[in-house]
Amino acid sequence: MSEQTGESSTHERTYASVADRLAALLIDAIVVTVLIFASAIVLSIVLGPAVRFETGADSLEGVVNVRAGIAVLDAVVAGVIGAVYFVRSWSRGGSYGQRRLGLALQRSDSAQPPSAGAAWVRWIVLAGPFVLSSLITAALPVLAPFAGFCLIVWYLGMLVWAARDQQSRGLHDLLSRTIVTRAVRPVVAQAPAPAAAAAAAPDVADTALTGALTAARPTDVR
Amino acid sequence: MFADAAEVDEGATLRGDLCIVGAGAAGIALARSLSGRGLRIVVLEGGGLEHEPSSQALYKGRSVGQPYFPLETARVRQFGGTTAHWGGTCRPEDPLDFERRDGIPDTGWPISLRDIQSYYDEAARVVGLAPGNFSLEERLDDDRFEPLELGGHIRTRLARFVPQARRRYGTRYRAELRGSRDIQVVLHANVVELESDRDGRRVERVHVKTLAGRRFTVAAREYVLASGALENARLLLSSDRHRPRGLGNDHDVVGRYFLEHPRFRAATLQPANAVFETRFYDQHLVSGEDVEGYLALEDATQRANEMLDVQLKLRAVLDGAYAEIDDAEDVVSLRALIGQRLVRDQVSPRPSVDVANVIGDLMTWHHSALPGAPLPVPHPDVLAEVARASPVERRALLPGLLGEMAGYAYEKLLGSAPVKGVDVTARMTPVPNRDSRVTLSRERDALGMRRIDLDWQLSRFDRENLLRTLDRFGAAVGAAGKGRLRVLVGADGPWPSDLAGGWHQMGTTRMSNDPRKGVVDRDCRVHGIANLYVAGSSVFPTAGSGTPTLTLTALALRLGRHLGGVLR
Repeated sequence: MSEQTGESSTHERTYASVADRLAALLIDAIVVTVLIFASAIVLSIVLGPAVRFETGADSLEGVVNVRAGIAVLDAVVAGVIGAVYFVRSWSRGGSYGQRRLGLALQRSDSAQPPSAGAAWVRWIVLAGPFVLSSLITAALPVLAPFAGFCLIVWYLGMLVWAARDQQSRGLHDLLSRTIVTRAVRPVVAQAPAPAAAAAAAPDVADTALTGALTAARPTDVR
Repeated sequence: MFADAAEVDEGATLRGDLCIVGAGAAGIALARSLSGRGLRIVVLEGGGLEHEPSSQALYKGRSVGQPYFPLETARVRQFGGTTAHWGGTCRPEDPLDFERRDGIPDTGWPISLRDIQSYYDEAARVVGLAPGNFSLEERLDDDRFEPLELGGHIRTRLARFVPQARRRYGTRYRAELRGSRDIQVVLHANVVELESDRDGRRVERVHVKTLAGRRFTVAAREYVLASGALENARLLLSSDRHRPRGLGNDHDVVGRYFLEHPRFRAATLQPANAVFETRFYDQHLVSGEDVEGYLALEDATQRANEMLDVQLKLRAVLDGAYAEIDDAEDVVSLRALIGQRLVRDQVSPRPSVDVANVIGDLMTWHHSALPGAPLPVPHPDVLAEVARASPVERRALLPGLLGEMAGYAYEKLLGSAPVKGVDVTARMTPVPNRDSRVTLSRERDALGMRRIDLDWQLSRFDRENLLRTLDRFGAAVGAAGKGRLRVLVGADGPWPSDLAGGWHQMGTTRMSNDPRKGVVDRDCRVHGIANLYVAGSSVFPTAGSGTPTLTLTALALRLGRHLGGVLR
């Protein structure tokens, strides 16, 4: 279904399905994870290891030793990396994953990418709980199951919400007034200008030739 | 019937057909076997129905030889005797144990295994074993563990356990004896002397004294000493009214040839693989009964090489993280949820806690995950550590990284927990040693009776026998590609510091046809004394490869049959 409003009467928008968006998210997740992994290596080199093993430990719990301070720092840096990655790319029309799959992030009322402010709102709603949870569990690992449980509830809720929306908009889309679209396809001749120019070009070339030929015969009366 | 010595009149004489001194494994078995014939059987028990420190203190003595358990805790002075702390292990003797062995002095019983074979089935019932035999082969199909195949003339044999609830004769036989019409058990009746006639040929009466000082006597047609090897010897040596050396001791054999089954860590085995199944040699459940395997040289090999039996048990030393993984909280919860019983006495189920534990365990990876990453990948430090670790360490890391259940799954995958090493415990049957003995000391107990000194001796032969056995065992282990044995006992020097007895006191009134070599004859009657017998492991001339309780019970039943004829 397409919705034609204002300037986008020239465009027909198809809304990305939930499946599309999750696929894009997966690609982004991989990229972000790689970036965070690299940052963790750097932090580890600079500040020392965050995780140590005590293989001589008497009990099973003693084996993996996590230095909470560094783990928290890792989580903070991870959050920053994620924020920069997504907010920037969103305010430019879509994340890497989205664009790879032919999706675009647009304002709900125009085909323009969202403003930086809107992108931040979107980020906070979508990723805020996740970042918060990772900070808490880095500091207090014992809360991990509880935090995990809350996250599952939150994201399942978001997923159900988006699936039931006709335009597959999630809470983060609604609050930031954005929408994710697929293959923006123009339907009006505004676009053909370049095509017209391309079509005209052969005529010009012919005219030049004709002109040349005409100039060559003085008896031709204009 | 039960009575208490305090109820007997001062100076009275109790009369009966048979007087049994001691209501332990032997005494109770014997008394029961003669019940129902209209005989009057008096059983004199020095202790009470329960453990009493004042009674136990009468057992205090001194150990002057090889370090031994404190004598007042090595045996129990109460109704039921030392079954009060019995471990329940049962194993019959081997024919080889009864043979006179070339090159090994003082071996040989005056009877053969066949003479008591017919009593073993009934003995098994008396001690509380489930019906069945000791066959290893018949049980292998039902056993989830396997014995070690070593060839090299090493075989695995089987011991069976009496269930815990049946081990204590004090509880098991209390009601029966209380209700018995012909067995009179007198508690707190400490026998301090066996009085013989002037020639020392018959016992006329036994003298009983209580801790309060009351004295009375018991007169019977026949008498049986069944108070344990240490106390039997003590009583005979103390009964010196007409015989300065003690009763039945004309040839100075009473108290000598004290035997035990010493056990200690003799070697370690470095396994060739991480998987080395030793659980067959631990107590484990097979078809409703607990059994335990042990390794020993085949009879033919022992015979051919003039060796005595040394039993080896294997105990795996597990990789730290796997040592208790079967009992780890989360694993126990998992198993509870899937309905697997671990022990006979199962704690009542608590599903909510179990579910929480399992979920928590599944989240273990969280500790090593990259914080803040949208995908669950390990922290680079974790990968670095795993890469740096040796294979042994890596195995140990698995439960730490992925949880106890993962470690448990890995253990199941391997077939058994990965093993760092294997401890080899030896249980020796020492050669009969005349110098290993019980004597009377100058000290006296609260009843005025002389205490004992125990001089437990092991000999050079025992050391060599042990090393030769370990040699063959090591060779077999190597030849089978199982690993390498490292022996911990040297050819010289003291015995290992962890060498301890097996709680088996034997031999102080040993059996022999020759009165110069033994205290009792083939009928367990004291040489030279017409109406005095001994029951219990104090009659064993050799330690034997079996466990004493089963065999002494068979002997007691055999004695009962003999006395049944005598007392008719």
